[in-house]
Amino acid sequence: MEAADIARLIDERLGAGTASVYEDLEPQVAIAPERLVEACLYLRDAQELRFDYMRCLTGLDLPPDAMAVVIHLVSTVLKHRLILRVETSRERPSVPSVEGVWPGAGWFEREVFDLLGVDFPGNRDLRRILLPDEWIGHPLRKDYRESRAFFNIPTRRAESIRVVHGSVPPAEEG
Amino acid sequence: MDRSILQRFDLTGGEMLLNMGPQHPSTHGVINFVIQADGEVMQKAVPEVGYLHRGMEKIAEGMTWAGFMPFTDRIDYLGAMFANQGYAMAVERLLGVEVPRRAEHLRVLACELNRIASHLIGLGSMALDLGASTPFTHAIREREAINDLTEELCGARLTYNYARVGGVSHDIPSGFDARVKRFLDRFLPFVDEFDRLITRNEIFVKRSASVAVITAAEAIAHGLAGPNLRASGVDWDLRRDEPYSVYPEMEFDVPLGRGERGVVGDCYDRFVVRVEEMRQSARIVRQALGGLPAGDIQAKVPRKIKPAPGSCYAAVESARGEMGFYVVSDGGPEPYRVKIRCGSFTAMTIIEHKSPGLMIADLVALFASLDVVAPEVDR
Repeated sequence: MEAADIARLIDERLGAGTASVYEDLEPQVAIAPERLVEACLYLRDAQELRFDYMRCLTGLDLPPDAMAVVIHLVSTVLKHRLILRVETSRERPSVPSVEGVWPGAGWFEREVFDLLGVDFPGNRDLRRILLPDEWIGHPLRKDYRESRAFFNIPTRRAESIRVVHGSVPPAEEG
Repeated sequence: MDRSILQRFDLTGGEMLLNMGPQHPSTHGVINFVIQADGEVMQKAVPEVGYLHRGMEKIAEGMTWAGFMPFTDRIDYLGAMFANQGYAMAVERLLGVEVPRRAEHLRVLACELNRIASHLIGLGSMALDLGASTPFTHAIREREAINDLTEELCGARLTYNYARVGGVSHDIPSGFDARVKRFLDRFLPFVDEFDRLITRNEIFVKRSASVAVITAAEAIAHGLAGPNLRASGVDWDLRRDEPYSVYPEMEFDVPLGRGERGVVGDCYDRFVVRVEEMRQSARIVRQALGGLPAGDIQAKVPRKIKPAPGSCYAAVESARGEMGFYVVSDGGPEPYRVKIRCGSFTAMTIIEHKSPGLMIADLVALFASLDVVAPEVDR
């Protein structure tokens, strides 16, 4: 089933304007954040869709004012795939959690929260997962600047290493 | 400051709170389990990861498309070929490059050898964790032979950096096919011996059968992948169900957990499925080698890779299940975003769910049977 067909099915079920096709190399189905959980439950449970397996959930920083969460789904029963796209504001990025639909999504959401700062209301354990609790900022944001030090440990060398491409330093005489 | 993980526990009943890790022989790398236990029985085990986070996805954004390839080796150090191939496939799809058939055969050959090597470590260390130390030495001896082969193939024993965007780095050296065949001839009897040594060992069976049973529904809901998913009886293998490379031309079976000594989806099934997968991989290696076509090993790819703006997802069936790369290009010489999806990451998510009521010693069995590689979780 193509992305356009699935977007049409979601619209039929949840009202026109819920889903639209986002053209890309692999077309995605864009969904409004406030209808995401309903749409996911429908995608998982409908007999003709059966998207039971969430293979990947990730975030994208799209400055100046948007962020996107991209969810890759597949059906182990019907063997077709789908990519969902949820756009949110960059000021206060927030996307409802789909942990209740696919329990495995919980950790993926924690990672997006950790690295991009997207809030996932409904996630029952939204803490940093890869970085330490004390970390400041969200590294995968395009405007991220690394702190000069972490617990007084400098994060940069005093002198930067200069890499010279394609040349070998001359051997010393003697 | 209190660790945020402590918010997850309520110890008003006088239960013990234990750290298993981050340095612990059976956590295979640096992973911590915070365990709330009443005696030997766990009420909850919450994994704490991130100790090996190297910011791979951030690093990718600061280098060229081709330059990221050696970093993919370090995602899963027991299965670097899969990461190489997955990343190469993702970039090739962005570029619309067709890979020469000889290169595809070589990738399949290398990946399946790598799968055997990875499963040998997984199986050997699971036996080791459950108290049998000899099988590990046997397994690692055989793996050593594979390391020798990959060293001949690409110069590296662990971090192969073998795939290139549009091909592979080296063709096979002369006499390589004969040496691979000699290895395979010896390897299949070895697997039978391994079965006698440990798979059918009554103590091992008692220790792992019917322990930490993961049902098919749980496995799917938590996104378990690869052998862990198939051990729960879910017939899903990307090599067959989402065909890539030259796998459609290969003949192989997809072994499933049958619950032969306990219940479908127990630790024993996860072990047996991997043993059987090694036999199937050996079959594929033979076919990939036998049908090796002549021709180039590298497609024509621009020297400076600059894919048109867009995104795509490519996944391979790694030794630890689905390894996917979601790559986004903004048209520039550097990736805009690279997301790496790994089997170990999702395998970790099921541990907290399965832990209540499990013995602490059985957490070791569950964790070993999931064959988690810590750097793959943290990337």
